[in-house]
Amino acid sequence: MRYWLQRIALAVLLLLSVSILTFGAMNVLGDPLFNILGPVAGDVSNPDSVRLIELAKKEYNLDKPLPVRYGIWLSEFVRGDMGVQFSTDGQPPVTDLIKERIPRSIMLLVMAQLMATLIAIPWALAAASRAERPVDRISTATTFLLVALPNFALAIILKYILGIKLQWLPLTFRAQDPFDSRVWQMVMPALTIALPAAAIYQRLLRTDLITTLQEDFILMARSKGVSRRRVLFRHALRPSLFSFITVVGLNTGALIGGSIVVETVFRIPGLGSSLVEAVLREDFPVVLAIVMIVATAFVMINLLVDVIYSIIDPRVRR
Amino acid sequence: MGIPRRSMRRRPGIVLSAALVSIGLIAGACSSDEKKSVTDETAAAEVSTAPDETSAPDESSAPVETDAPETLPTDAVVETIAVEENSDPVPGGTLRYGLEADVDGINPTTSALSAPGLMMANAVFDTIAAVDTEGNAVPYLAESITPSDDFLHWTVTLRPGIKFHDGTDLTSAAVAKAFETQLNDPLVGLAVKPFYPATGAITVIDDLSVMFNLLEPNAAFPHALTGQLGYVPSPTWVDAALANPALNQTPVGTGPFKYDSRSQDSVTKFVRNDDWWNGEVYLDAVEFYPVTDPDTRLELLLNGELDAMQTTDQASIPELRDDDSIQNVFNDTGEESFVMINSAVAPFDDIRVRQALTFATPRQNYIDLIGLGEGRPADQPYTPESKYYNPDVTQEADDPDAAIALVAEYCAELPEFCTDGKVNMEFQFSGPAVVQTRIAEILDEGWSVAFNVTFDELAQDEHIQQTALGQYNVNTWRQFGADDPMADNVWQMCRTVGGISLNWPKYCSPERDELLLAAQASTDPAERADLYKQVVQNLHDAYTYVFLTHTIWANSFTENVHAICDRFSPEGVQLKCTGNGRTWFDFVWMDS
Repeated sequence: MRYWLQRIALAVLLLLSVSILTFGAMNVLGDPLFNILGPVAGDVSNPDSVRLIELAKKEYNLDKPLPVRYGIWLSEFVRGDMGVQFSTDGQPPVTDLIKERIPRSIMLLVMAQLMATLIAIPWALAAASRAERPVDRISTATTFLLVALPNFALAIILKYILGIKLQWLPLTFRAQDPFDSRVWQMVMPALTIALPAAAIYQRLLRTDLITTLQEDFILMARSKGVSRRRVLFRHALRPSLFSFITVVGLNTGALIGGSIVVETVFRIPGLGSSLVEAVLREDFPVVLAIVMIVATAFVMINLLVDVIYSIIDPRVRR
Repeated sequence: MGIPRRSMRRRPGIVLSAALVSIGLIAGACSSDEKKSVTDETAAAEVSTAPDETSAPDESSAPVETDAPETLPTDAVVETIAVEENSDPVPGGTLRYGLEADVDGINPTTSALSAPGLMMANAVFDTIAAVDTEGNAVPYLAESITPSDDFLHWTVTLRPGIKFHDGTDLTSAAVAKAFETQLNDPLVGLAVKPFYPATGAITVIDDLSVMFNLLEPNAAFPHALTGQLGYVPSPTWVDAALANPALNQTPVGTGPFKYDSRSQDSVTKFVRNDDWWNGEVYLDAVEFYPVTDPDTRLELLLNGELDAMQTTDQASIPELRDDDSIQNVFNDTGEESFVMINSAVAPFDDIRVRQALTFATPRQNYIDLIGLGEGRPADQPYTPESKYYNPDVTQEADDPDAAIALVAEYCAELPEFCTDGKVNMEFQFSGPAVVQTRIAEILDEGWSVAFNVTFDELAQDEHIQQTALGQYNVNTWRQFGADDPMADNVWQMCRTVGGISLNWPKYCSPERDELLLAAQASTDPAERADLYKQVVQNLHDAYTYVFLTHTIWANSFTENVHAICDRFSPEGVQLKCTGNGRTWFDFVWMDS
């Protein structure tokens, strides 16, 4: 129990640290007043402007010290109130924006993980079964290339080949299209995230498979005349998946980061692109909300992995 | 909540930065439009300004010096689309339009509408007057617009029987409500208030008639009703939006399309108004997609994922022009790109320093390396085809010896503003943006013979704020180019110098004011032309602007879009179909 309490306390501490850093940075580096009022915020010689400045300060708690504002924000945030957007002309509350956008981001991540997994497993099987042969060497070079290639560069390449030249996949995402169309439009963005992830998974699984294929029980199976394919799928794959599954879980956090770029490049109105827009607008409440959601997701996934580890291997808890 | 909103949504990225900005404001007598640009000649205005880099190409496509064109364009870049004869419109379809950015709100009474904002507003609102193909302002929502003998009062009589999308009747009270809301808006009102009396700026005469009461005679006043000031929103909605700003996103007008949905920075959709007062609307819907990167926007258009787009990206122009499947409307007779100097702050409060900067400006390098041979060099706010063009005024530049001599004289008198015999100055531009940094470097190469230049690269909003508040030495900017030059008064008059100054260089010239007021009061075209030519000379002599290029606006459409320029008033007068990046959708239709 103590182990769990420690892990949860650490997670809460981490989230608090993230929130303090983000809140501090956004308030120190920018001028919230300008994002609300425009140049009126600097027109301090005009009594009308001064009145509006005072009104805005009061409404957005900008007349209070930073720690107090943080306290107010935190207490509202934990109750589900993420505030209103700063640079708004009556745009929806942050929670409405998040509710609208988060499903697309989740959809993108789920599709990307599924694709990465579906690509990585057969790819690793093919490479491991032909280890150190030309196929494996080419495969290794390809994985290095994919891992080294930045997301935005891969996105441009895929758009050019699959979208413009071959015209197999749509170039952009349209939020108002029917669900099946949106799934189809999400394929290329998901592939952009999935390919580098698949390369990482492939490297890991291939190594584990090669190790497994050298085990005695594999030799036994082969000596009993079990086909190579059956050995690979029925005997070698399953015991090799332990690390693979762990890394897939942990890598989800990294994929969230990658999705920010991909959403922007493919114009998917998800959390990532909203974060980029909000940072450029210095729309602090939106930035804070998205950073906290992403951080929470990351922490929760890591916590979940810890839980799984501790169940599988109780020694971790000691 | 009673707090005004910021004008425009910022555009991300490099292209972004190029972008505009502004405070878009409406002027009682002036106009302007877009974010990146400004001015729709006709209209009412907003202040949009922007670092002129907006029109500059992305650095990736910028040429090296050897690629500079040997000859520069001298003819107007004006291409349009003819009215379709004997066309058989097909109802249905959704037009997907690529905008250069999104805006914070679509409320003409409180939102600063940039070019994208005005594009969306054109779908949902109608204006009191509209500009015809000859450049005249003609009645549109209005049945008549009549001046008093002294042009101090203008009576607008509305057409009867027009209804807003919410079922409210269009009445004089609606016009008065819209105007007064604009007048009282702290930001939008900045461009309106200077031209109207403090009280009684508008009088309701009867259900369909109002009288605008001006501070000075203005014979060109109907032009002020062709842009943002001329949009008439539902008064019910205006009241509701004042109480709940969230409604600024859900506009209610009399236009050919009705609001359907809007997702910030993603898509805004308007659907057909089956009861439109001016005729049958063919499109089922218009969807606006903000695509901030011009290359991406172009790519989407060329690949059929958009049906239309707007751009000022010079690098896109050749591609659009060379593609036979694209219909283009190009126009470079609108806004200008220029270097702007703050005359209110030392050392540039001394005309010798402003002259020196002008002489030291490497204008030809800018034109070659940034204009890419597409944009024409600009000498003044008008293109050579304009009747207001003053042939005696040419933009000085590329004369470093003259700059050095002036600076030597200045530094001998006021050494506190100089170091090592050069004047210290700060050049402000928005960023981060590779192309703007490149522009800064190109300009610095020339200026450095007489100036110690410090770069001040700011986030776009801060850049605008500091410019509006006069907290800059020198920057790059874009504006001017209104349909009627009266609409550009707001940038040039003494009365718009203030805490927030729409006269950005903060240069007050009573002589210029006299000329501008005389010109707006005149009904004699020859006299007006002469007066505006004198204004051009006055602008030149003040040395507050170094004109660089005329900006090219492009509105491009795929070949299945029809009747782009088939736009008429109820009396059958053909109306202008584009203006500084804006188009209309009244009778547009699409085939499969």
